[in-house]
Amino acid sequence: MKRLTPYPVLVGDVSLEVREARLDDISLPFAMISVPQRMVALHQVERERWETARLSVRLRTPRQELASGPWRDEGCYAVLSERRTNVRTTARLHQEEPGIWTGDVVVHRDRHVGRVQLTGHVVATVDGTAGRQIGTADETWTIDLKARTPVKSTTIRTVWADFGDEGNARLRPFSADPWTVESVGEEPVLYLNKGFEGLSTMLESSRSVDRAARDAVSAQIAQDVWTSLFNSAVYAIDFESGPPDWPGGWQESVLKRLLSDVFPDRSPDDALAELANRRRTGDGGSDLQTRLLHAAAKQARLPRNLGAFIRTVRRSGQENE
Amino acid sequence: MSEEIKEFGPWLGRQLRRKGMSQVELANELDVTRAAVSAWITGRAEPRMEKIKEIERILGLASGASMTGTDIPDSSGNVEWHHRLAYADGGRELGNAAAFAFDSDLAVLAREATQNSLDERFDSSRPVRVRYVLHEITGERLHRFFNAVRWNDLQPHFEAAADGRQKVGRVLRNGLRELKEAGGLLLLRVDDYNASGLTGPEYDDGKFAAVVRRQLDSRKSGTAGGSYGLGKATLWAASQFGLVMMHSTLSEPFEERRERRLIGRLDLPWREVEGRQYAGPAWLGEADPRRDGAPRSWWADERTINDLYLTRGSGDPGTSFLIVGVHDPAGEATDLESMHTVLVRSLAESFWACMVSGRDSAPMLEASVEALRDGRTVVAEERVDPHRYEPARSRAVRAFLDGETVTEMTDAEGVVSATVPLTVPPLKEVGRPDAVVHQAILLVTPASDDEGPNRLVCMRGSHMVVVERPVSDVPLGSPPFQAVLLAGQATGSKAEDAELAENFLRTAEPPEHNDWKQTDDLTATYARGAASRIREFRRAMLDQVRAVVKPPEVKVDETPPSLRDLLRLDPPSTPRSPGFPTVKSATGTLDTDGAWRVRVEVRLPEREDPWSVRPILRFATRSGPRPQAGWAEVTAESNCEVTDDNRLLFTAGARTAAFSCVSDVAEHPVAADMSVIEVDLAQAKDEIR
Amino acid sequence: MSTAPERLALLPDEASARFLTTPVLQDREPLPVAAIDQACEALPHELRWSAEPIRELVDEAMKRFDGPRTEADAWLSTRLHSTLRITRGEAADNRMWNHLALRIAPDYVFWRHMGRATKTQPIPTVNRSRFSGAFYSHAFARLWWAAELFRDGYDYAPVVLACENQDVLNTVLRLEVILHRPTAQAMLKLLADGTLRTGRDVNALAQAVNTAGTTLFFEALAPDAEPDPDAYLAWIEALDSTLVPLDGMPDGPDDGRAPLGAVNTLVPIFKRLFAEAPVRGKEQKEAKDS
Repeated sequence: MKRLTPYPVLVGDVSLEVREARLDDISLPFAMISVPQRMVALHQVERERWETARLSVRLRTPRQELASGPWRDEGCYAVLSERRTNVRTTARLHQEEPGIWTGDVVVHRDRHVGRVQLTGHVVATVDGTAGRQIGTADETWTIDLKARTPVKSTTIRTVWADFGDEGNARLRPFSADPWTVESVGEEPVLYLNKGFEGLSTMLESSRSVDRAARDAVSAQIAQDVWTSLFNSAVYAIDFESGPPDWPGGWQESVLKRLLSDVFPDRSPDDALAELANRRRTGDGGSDLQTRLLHAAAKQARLPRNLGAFIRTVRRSGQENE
Repeated sequence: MSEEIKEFGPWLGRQLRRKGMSQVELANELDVTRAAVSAWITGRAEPRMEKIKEIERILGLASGASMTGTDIPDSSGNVEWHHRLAYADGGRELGNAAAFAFDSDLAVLAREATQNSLDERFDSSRPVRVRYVLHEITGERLHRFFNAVRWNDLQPHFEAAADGRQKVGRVLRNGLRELKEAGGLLLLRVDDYNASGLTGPEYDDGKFAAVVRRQLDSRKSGTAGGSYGLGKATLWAASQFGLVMMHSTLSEPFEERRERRLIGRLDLPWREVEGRQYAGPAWLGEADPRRDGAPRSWWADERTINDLYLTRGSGDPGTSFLIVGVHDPAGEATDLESMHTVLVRSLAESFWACMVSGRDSAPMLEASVEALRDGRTVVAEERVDPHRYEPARSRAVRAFLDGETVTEMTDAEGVVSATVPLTVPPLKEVGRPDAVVHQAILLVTPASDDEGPNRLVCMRGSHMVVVERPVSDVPLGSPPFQAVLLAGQATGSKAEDAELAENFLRTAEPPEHNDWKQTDDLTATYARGAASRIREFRRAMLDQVRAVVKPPEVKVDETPPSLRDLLRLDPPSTPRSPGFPTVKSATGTLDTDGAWRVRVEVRLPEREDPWSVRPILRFATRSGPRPQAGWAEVTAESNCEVTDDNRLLFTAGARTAAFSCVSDVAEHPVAADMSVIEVDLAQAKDEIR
Repeated sequence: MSTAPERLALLPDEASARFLTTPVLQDREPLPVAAIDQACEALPHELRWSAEPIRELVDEAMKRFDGPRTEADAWLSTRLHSTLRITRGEAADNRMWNHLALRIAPDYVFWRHMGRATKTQPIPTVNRSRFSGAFYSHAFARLWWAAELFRDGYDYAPVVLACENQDVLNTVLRLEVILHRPTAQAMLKLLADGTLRTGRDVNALAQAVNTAGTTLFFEALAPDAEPDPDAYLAWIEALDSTLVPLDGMPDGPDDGRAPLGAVNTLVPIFKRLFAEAPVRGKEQKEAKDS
């Protein structure tokens, strides 16, 4: 897919950086800001009840290009947005020196709940049309109200719980199972059963004798997770109001990770259309499950981990003979 | 009149030395006693006017020369090359041992020469200014330069020395060949201002003799950092001809004079020229009549200085070294531009800390580099800006100088200050009973990725980087940072502990000045346990860095490590070589009807069956579904044909194809000049609506 | 059957999904209230979480609108917003909306959103997202958010206008561009002045603005004034001394209106975008009309 814009836009890099964060005017430790991760963690145990977080941001624009290009009345903006609370706040930045724009954006605690996106935009008058977007910052920052460290979570959340526990109404029915997956809501969760004898010892083991078995079990768990998440993500595809649309959120991530192995000769969009079509018509379900099994096994590295396990078992069998 | 008396004596003494005439000879010519001449020279008495006139005549000077202080002019007779003869025992030195004692290159030259200048700082309230001027000369300029340096006299020596199979012979051969082929000569002048200059007598201990006469002598003014002995050798190592000219403005007068003290030194290996054997070094200077014609410096006139490209920028004391036929022994920098870059980088890297100034304090050092070709600027004079090359570290030092450090890292430019204890053990000899604890200062500031983050540099009073190392085991989630440790007198403390720590750390530096560790000097000087104190100090500084950058909390992740990689949810990377047709490039314009005219190049994975796709035109939106529009026209260009339903059928086996199309204006959701479009390919028969 | 809950509570998505079986969505089986109550997390004892005033509104709505039930949206939207005084952060919590739909007023969800029988679904069914789903499809969340996003400061009049047109609720409400208040108000102005006449018109404008939003940065053309968060909180606290009127128009939070100048800047731009946008079927329709 290629994009075309009907007027000249910036080619050079536009970069956005959070320089400082203040909770109710008190500076946050800089360790809560991660430049490489493009993330700010706003959760501090000692200061639960803050009202506003003020972020100092700096946007860099390609100085030469902007000065010599066909643009006039350039302006730069920082935008805070969070879809869950339908908030989009725009702050105009001031040019500190050519190519450097700075300003503050304010996060109001009451108007946000989780991950707030911070983006940077360059706007100018082009060919007499004012307010044209001519560039956006290469990276989007995440301001996370719940995170305690500015580290982006890249794995599916895992929770150890005793499924048999009285307080776990929803896990009780599965108390005999080693693991289960919950794939509703904002974030899917893999529950590992603490009450399943030997499971936690094996999975947390770092002994080399346990490695083959541990990895084989891990791959098995992962295959289950991917299969089940894929199946719920299929139901999140909206195909009623036009061409099938990516569902966003974790569902989109799951689909994007698996579809290239489910339908290897189709582009992501084509694969999505195919998936939606099969769901709509109810055709090709069993073929889809076979393909899914393959894709999930690949994600879970099942062939490698299970193969290594079998080899180990065979070897120790020979030694015992 | 008394002032003239005071000046006449030294003037006369100087003229006699220049002429090689003894006091007795002059006395005989004037028909006076030797004692009378001696009394004039020492200023105890003054000759009568007619005697002065006669003296001027004998010396061959115009009448009144003594009043104006005019010297006997230099002439080819006075200034010439003096080659040291070979030892009678036939011992040979194949190249200057010092010059090749360590691997040299231009970066090392800049470091060593500048360190020497810093060590020789004259007025400690002002910065030392060093200036590097690269100059490539050809034609008439080269001709004049060769005359001034008496190149013709050296030519047979070069040719003889170039014969050798040693490294120095090879370098020399290259130099001579390049000179012949290119017809140009590269000069590098290294100036310092507000430095001592080459003071002191010709042969006895002093700075002049240390630089000019001896090769491994280190004669330092104060808190020494580098090693002058090795340092100056880099100057000769950087010359393809082993030839360096020196011009110094002295901070303390010698022979009553301060300005335009000149001498040249050549370092060649043992050689035989016209039947005579020469040991190696040679000097360009006057023959000293009182030393059997041994070469000595001379007080040159401005024209000579000018012809030798040794004119200094101001009357401030200091020295100019002219490296003739400069090259990068490492072979990396080969032209003016790249040499300029190497010098600037080296100066920035080694001396950024000396060049940082506080709000109310001058820096220790100012440095600049420029490059010219035949008098025309090639690279304009660049004042080395520490904040440009070492932004985070320079910021840290400046914040320290300005007293603007903080205790907690809160913004991208904040500088945290913490302390690191150093226990200085007692000296062996003096038997000072107790160890003293010195608090070194650790500065930590966030850095950008491209600065090679998470590193620590250490320095003491000289502000030269001694230790430069990565900090390992940085706590998870720490921001990238730079750390600077200031120890000893670099802490700005005048207290005793700072001085003791300064000495202790200097003793712990190996000759390369690149570490603090156990040295022979250390074990010899300090009481038992000195090496352990150094080790503790090194450990303590790393621990302190980690403590400063540690994020307040560490995230609780319950995912077993073996599962972590299997459950990654971040977006997959796009395949370099996807298994389906993709748009390789799309370019387009709006036509007068408001339709998009787009040309598309397609990348096709190889497949036996021909690929069939539908070109898709989508309109980008701020959110939600992106509306599609149809094409009014699709035209095949290469490796494809257009089917009836506006699909494309690509030639079987083709890897690339191209087509162009025109959008259907009636289906645009908005005027085309208001929209961003996306061009894509779909295999699906038709969109599901 | 358990007694009606006094207060709203938080019912997780995962639990809602379990309770919303097909027979339940077809209203052929009752919702398991005891199990729902067990799966809930309580909210604090605050007046604004009282279930009764909301229950009252819902009953009133079902009584008042016995004609086309879509007409209840405009009436209920403003009053629900003015009764359920919560912050946007609180409104982002699906669990509260789940509880409201599954436990407090499922009868309203069936009343308002029961689908028609189709070939694939011969038994009328309520779409699951009306009980537990995105803010723009949930039976109550969509009304509350419509009021929050279309109000002009304390003035709910634009909300009424918006809710009278189902395409605004179904299409425009979902667009990110309307999070810029002057953009939202300018679009509604085109509805008020008759520029937009049909649902098709609304959709065409929505698409044109949404598409043009990739090249035009509306925030630069028409800078908004930041709403006053303290005024909003004051309005929440004022609930104790307020009785939301059933006939008259209630007041929204007085946290500042979208600058009129900004709205007026965008109106002609949107008019032009709309005029230039080829509305699918517009030409045919106009041809037929003439």
